[in-house]
Amino acid sequence: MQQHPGTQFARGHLRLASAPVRHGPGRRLGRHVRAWLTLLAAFLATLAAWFMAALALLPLLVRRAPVGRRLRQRPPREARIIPFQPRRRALPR
Amino acid sequence: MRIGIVTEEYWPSAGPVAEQVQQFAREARRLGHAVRVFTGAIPELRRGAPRRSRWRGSPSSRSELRPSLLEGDVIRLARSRRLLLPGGARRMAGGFGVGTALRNALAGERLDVVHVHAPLSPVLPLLALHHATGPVVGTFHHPYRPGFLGRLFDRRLQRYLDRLDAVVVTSRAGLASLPERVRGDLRVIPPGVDVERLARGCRIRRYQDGRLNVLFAGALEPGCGLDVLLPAVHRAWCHAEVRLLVVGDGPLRARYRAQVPRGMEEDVVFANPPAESRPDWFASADVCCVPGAAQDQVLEAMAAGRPVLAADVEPNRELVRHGREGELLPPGDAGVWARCLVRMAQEPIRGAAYGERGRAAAQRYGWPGMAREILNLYRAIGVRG
Repeated sequence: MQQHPGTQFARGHLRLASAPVRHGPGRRLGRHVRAWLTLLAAFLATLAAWFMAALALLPLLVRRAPVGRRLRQRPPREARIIPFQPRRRALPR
Repeated sequence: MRIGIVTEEYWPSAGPVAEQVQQFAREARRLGHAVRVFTGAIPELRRGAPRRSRWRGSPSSRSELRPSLLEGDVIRLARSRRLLLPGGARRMAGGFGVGTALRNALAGERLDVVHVHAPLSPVLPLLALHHATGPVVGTFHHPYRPGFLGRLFDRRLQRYLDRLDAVVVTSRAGLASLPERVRGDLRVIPPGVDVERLARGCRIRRYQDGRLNVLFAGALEPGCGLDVLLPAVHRAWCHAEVRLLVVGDGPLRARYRAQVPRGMEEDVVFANPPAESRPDWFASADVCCVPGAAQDQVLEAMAAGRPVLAADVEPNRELVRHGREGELLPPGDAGVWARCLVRMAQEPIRGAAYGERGRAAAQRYGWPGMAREILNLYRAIGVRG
């Protein structure tokens, strides 16, 4: 059951969201077309992004190893997994 | 300590990585450390006049909140473009001379440590691993599963992985194949959450009409799970007074709007509010749904004191215990989600109990504590400052 039917008005400190836009049934086709156009634009943007990324990474093909080194050169060994152990503290009452 | 953070995702880009960088930078600065962020340049920022959609590169709903760093502390190196991948939308810088610019910027700042987010992903993270001369820490936000390009350059990527002085993963699920490939320790540090801000939300009056407000708050991109949640909410809507609030933006926004079932349009609200009012949307929700693997969404809902219905996948399982802070449901089964939503509408006391337990559990993931975990890790690998 709706307790506050109808349009709500802003009063003092109350923050109200904008009213949902009412769409007629004729706009459904438009929405689908828009969805496909957005995906097409995303695909083209993705292609452009990969091309520019390839340009940026080209120098790494020549210089094969990282320039810097680790602080501590450790012998190869199995990875040790350190789980997260949060500190417990009293909850605010 | 002078900390350099290299990331493709930073304000005004949205998402868990950008949020983590911002929040960590804020806490580190508060503790007296200097932080520089190296990221891509977003052309729309220079032009001013933010546009509405994040996909077009404008300030996003989540990150519209003032950036925690002064603009001088953010070094934008090359034009960044948004791209769509099967796992979601990402940002990537590119073009000639990015490597040189990054090398000079890193050298000029005389950093004590470089923290690279998503270290094996192009472009800035890989270039940072290549050019950094001091200690480097890498954070993997997603399980590392090399694709075609990853397998093609496997041996070369291994060299970059070996370069890392410390490796952080945000969940145990994120370990994936890393334990076989990393030499040294793997530290699990979950994403933090701004507990205080989310607890301050005020209910939006328009949505307090007795209906069950179901909130989805996340990026609208592949893998977000909204394609399961929409039919689930529709089924529940046939049996109970239910409204779906979709808070967020992304490349699939138009597609999801088109998928809203006939007759239900007025009860599905798509909103991309400014970050300041994001807590209000959580406060207005009766139940928060996380149909994909998204720890940040789970933590936000818990911090806001809302019951969580989350997909029963590994990252969510690490935060939500079934029947305690919420319920874990099979990720692709809309029928189970619908039945659970109807049950939540009929049993509000159960939801309130979940929410209270969630709020208590989320206190452990507050940013002050999480930032200290990361700073302690720096010290553990020998970073001075």
